[in-house]
Amino acid sequence: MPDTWRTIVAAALDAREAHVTFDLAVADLAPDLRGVRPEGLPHSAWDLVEHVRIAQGDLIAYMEDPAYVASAWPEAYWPSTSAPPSEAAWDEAVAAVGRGRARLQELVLDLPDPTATIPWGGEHTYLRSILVALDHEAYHVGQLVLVRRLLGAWSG
Amino acid sequence: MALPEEIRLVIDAFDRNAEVNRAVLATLDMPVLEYGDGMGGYCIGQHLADIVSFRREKLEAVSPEHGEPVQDVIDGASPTWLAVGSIDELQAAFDAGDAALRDAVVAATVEGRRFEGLYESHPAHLIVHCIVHDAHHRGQIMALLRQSGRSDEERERLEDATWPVWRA
Repeated sequence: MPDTWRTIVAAALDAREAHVTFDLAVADLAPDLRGVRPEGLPHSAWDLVEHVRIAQGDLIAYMEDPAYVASAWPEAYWPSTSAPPSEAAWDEAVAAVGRGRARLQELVLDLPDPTATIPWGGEHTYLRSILVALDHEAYHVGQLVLVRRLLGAWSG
Repeated sequence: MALPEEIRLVIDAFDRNAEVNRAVLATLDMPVLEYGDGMGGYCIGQHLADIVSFRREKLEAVSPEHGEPVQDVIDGASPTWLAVGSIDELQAAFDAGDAALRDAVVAATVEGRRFEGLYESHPAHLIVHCIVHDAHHRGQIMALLRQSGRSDEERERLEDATWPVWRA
């Protein structure tokens, strides 16, 4: 079973085993609810989708770009408005998360050695960063489910 | 055989996951475990019950010698599904489950042995599944804590104690 661990991590990136995937968590959410922050919560579904997209892209850049510079936290990692500017923007953000996940899966499957340290990343390894992305997406998918439930828009 | 580096890194992530869970539990008291969304979702205690029982249930399936010694802290009749009298007792159950799960995966890996019935492709699959499963529920717990009226100061303190664990 030498390389089966790569397949396991790649498959886990879509959080299928955590009850709900990202794609399921955003599916069929009515456009007029995408920007609504439920009472007592600081985030709308759009906030969470954009945050996942931005953070995922940041982790990929960290692994792939020798000139990577971290953006300002937290402002650069969250959208400036609670609602998407258009339905197309929502669709594009959702699609981008899918593309990012596919890239992470390629990295864990195809890198010669995912356990190697990222040359500009101190002690951080590629696998470590991929596992952070995995945890981060699953965490916010859980929150997407909660936001939808509070909006009366979750039947899962 | 020695523990391969990739499995050591997966276990390192699992240990960080445990550290984050510990930071969350350290901010809880027993009354808040009953706080829920009022819309049919789990209350905070039920999320924690789902997380902590994951370890014992999966181990009983794939490595009973590791699972059976872990204390069962689930009471389906309780509003929180938890049969603990304190957060410290719950933390002890997390610690025991984490240690048993880690030991089971390490032992199977170094012996070149596969689990049977579940996670058959590689023992480390159990740990990866546990990390993802915990994160899914922890995200909801953190949001419920916000909704329960935690102050911004408390919330920021908790966030400062959790995300840096992953970034360090």
